[in-house]
Amino acid sequence: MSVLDHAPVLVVVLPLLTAPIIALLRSARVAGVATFVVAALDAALAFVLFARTLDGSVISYAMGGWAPPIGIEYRIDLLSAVMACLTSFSAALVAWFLPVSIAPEVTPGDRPRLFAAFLLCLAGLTGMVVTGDLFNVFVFLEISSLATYVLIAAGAGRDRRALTAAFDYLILGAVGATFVVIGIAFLYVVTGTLNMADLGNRLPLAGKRAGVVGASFLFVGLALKTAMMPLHRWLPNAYTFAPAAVTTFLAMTATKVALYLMIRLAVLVFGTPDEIGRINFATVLPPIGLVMLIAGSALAVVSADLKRLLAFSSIANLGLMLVALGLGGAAGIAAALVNLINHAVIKGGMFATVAGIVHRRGSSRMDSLAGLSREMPFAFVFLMIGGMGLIGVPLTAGFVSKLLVVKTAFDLGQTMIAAGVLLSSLISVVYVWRIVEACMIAKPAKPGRRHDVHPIFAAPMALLGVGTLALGIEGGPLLDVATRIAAALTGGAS
Amino acid sequence: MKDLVGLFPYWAVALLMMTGLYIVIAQGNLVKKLIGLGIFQVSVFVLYIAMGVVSGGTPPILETGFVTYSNPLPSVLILTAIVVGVATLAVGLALAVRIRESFGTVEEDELLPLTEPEAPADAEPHA
Amino acid sequence: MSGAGLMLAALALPLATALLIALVGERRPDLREAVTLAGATALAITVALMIAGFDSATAAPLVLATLVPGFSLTLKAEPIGLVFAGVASGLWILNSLYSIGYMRAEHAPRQTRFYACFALALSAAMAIALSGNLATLFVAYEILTLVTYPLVVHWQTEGAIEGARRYLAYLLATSLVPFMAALVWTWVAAGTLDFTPGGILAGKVSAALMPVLLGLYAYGVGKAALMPLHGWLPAAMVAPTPVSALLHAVAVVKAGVFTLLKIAVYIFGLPTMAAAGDWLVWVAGGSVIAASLIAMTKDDLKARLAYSTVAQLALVTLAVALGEPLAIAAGVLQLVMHAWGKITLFFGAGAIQIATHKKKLSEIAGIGAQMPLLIVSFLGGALSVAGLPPFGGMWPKYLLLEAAAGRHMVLLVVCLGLSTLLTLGYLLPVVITALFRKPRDEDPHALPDTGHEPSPLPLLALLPPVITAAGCILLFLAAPAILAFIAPAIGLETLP
Repeated sequence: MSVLDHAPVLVVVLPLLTAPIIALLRSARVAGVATFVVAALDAALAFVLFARTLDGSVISYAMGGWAPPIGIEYRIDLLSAVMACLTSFSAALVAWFLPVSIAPEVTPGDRPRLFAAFLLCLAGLTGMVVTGDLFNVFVFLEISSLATYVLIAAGAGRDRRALTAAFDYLILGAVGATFVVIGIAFLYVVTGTLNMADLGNRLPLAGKRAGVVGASFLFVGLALKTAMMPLHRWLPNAYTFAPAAVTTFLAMTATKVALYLMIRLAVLVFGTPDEIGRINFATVLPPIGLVMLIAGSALAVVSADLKRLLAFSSIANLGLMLVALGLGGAAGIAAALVNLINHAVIKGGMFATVAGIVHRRGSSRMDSLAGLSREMPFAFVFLMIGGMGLIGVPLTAGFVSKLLVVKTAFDLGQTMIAAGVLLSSLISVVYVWRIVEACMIAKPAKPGRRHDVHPIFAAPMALLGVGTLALGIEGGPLLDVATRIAAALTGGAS
Repeated sequence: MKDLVGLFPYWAVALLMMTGLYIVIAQGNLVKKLIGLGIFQVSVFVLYIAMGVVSGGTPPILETGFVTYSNPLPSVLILTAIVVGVATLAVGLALAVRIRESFGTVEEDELLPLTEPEAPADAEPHA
Repeated sequence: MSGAGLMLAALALPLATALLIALVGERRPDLREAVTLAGATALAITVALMIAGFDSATAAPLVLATLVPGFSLTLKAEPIGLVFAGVASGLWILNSLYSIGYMRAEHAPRQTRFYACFALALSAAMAIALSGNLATLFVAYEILTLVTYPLVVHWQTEGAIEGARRYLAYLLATSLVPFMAALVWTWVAAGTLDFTPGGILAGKVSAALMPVLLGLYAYGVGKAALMPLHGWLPAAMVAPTPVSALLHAVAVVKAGVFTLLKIAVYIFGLPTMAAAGDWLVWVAGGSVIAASLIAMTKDDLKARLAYSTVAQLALVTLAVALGEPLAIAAGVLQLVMHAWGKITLFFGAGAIQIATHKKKLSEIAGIGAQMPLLIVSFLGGALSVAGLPPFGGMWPKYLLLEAAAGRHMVLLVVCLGLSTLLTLGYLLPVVITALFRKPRDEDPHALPDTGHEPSPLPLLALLPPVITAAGCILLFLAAPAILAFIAPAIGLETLP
């Protein structure tokens, strides 16, 4: 067996084992470089997985050689591979500028430990998407969550409210994770197995009530991690006060992975792509999603801080993903997946740009952005591209996302949902235009000289910005992958 | 009556779970919240272990005379969950210490006016 | 050069022009202006070549990109689009000359951004003109809204920011909600978005719902400024006059009515359109009268012209709603004639402003003595917009009257006649006041003298309106040629 045959487990183990080593390093510079190298290697491994599952095959890897369903199985289909690519590529992109970005906020002595936490977070998120064992999901969920609390708290160097934000998230996150483990308990009790595929086989045969209870607990726990209303309260503060680089990483991955879990559980464990236990996606998700779309956008309009504005925008976009999922069927899942990837690219690009701005100017408050279009034109361009993506201007990924959801809704006769989505994009115009006016029209107190972002931010900003446009101009390939995943999930559901 | 006695562990689970959640929500002191979280998590441990017990069962020992085994797997799962709980508690307490250093208090009602989200930034005194 | 190559050039030339302008920047303003003029000339030549070489049998679609399967960016030359492209590219040259004169006389800031965005707007307009399907048109339409924002907000005063917000609010709200809804509905019902002779919707949408779909389009295409969603057009007056000329004549509103024409001919198909359009005839007719009446109450010259545009655009919407070849021909001609006439009027109003710093009708008494040639050109434009021979504007009015008479719609005939009278009623006073009223020295309502001597009118601000006014006369003679060009596409059998 070659090294690449162990890719399913290496993609998790690599960051997991290198994290403590990096934590022990003395030089922050070496630690930073090492972090990027590990993340980049991880991305390469994830890409290998993607290449191997593109034709629809499923990789099954038995940990320690113990065959499933007794042993823990890592089960990678195209969906898992795509998600693993998402987490590792995001980590690599962020690791590129993380050392420079957090330098003003974290003392050099603490930085290696921060990088270690970053890699642990990556390990946890990637583990969640590649494992086929339900309890393993919980373990990795907790690993990534704990690392996230630490990462968010690192923002205290710039703003001490990061500490309370991290604490709030800890309490809520721990409750949510415990709900997940309670749900797992009930499912285990009625079937005797923790392997997700095996659960899918056995669950319909088992007692109904315990299964329903377990499903409900699981759903609520995941809803909290997905920041589904009304369990979204942790997200705005966490995104606002965390270091901008950390926010970039979280915005691209954390809630997306939780959404992936919801889809995976519905299909694999409960056997129906449209519901978890008695919680029917079609009844529950569209209303919640529409409320998130409208309320999230509305709250973004009144935010005084750019990161906070983008955080509420993320809530709105998550609502859109939930609406897509709630439309049901293969078309709904495909639309949700396209939305997921597109939003990760758009938001990642915007937060990376904000990281560059904050690093140079020291603040992300809206009133401190005056004069940005003249003083930091490179940053301004990419902020605009991202903003157009959030509105859903054609030629950006955001338009493709919105078009798919609206068309799917029309196809299924759900005109009210389509109308709701279209109306909510009006509110997004308002908050994006606030950014435009703050950067381009507002007069700065004293005109500054031209001093653009630190060069290290250029590559991630450009990559994600170009990605926003590329996914908007040729959205076919991504849609093709998403459709294939959706077909496999709904056609092969047991 | 049989349900009350026979399902006693599950009643304990429910009690602990609700108590823990209540403390998390109702208590304003951050350390007390963490205690409540701990109680909540303990209830889950009891749930798992109670599920695994088989009446008249023994640990799985491969010897003559040991026929009925209690399920060992939940105990293993709980070990993992306990470790996770301990780690969460540790991070939580560390955060509480930092909050105390930075804000001077760990009471939620005193913290709320100091952590108004829309207000301008306020770095740590000892950053 | 092949057809596909010419189409690509039509989009790429303004884009390249914008890039070059941005690169040259504030350092070499004369070079920068030369780039604009060179780009405009090159574009005009390209469009002329396309028109000359157009052959409906060999015009092939050119796929640029596919956003999503079924939603592709496709270019395809067809007569109505080429007419629009011709108008836009021709007027861009004149507008650029005028801009140079105007912006320099006003010592305007941010001129690089101005010229660059202008070029981008033209590229978007070309994409709209050459769109092969509704998807491409929609994409270019949105981009046009966004690239004109910096132009509208140019002065960046409080008033300009407010006005630009309203501009954006109206146009984005209409395109993001009703237009997009109509587009997706059409896509789902017909299975395609391609512009097809005879339309794609026949039989695909129930007769009861067809007027609803039409309504979504009529109001979704906010650039057509159909009342009551016309508010963005007066709000956009905060822009510099060359931008107003762009908005009202060269690109923006013309893109709006062009979209309605394309949708009528190639999406609905004329018979379906005629069946569904009854209500729109009356809404548009009401819009014509209402806007004309409001125009008569406006003292600010540009406001008067803005409402005039609302009224004149409603004539195209009316033509579209009638849904027959003669009316469509009238609509296309109105697009052309109104462009040339209105740009003359805006050039005139802007020139008055440069020379005398006066913006209102009540202030311009007697200035005709200083700038007789300008006022005569303004008169020419006014008569063309009103629809009197020997100016080109007569043709669309005449054809509309014929179409209305052919359908025995007496009320409509009266409405059209009334619109001509009202147009004269709000445009002629400008000329009369300028030429024949005496300036009143002790006018208690006169604004305090700013101390400025009336500046001489720059040649670059005087020449374009004279040329466009002359153009209105030339177009009177050229109209039959235009009709012959578009007749096969719209099913017009006998030429009037």
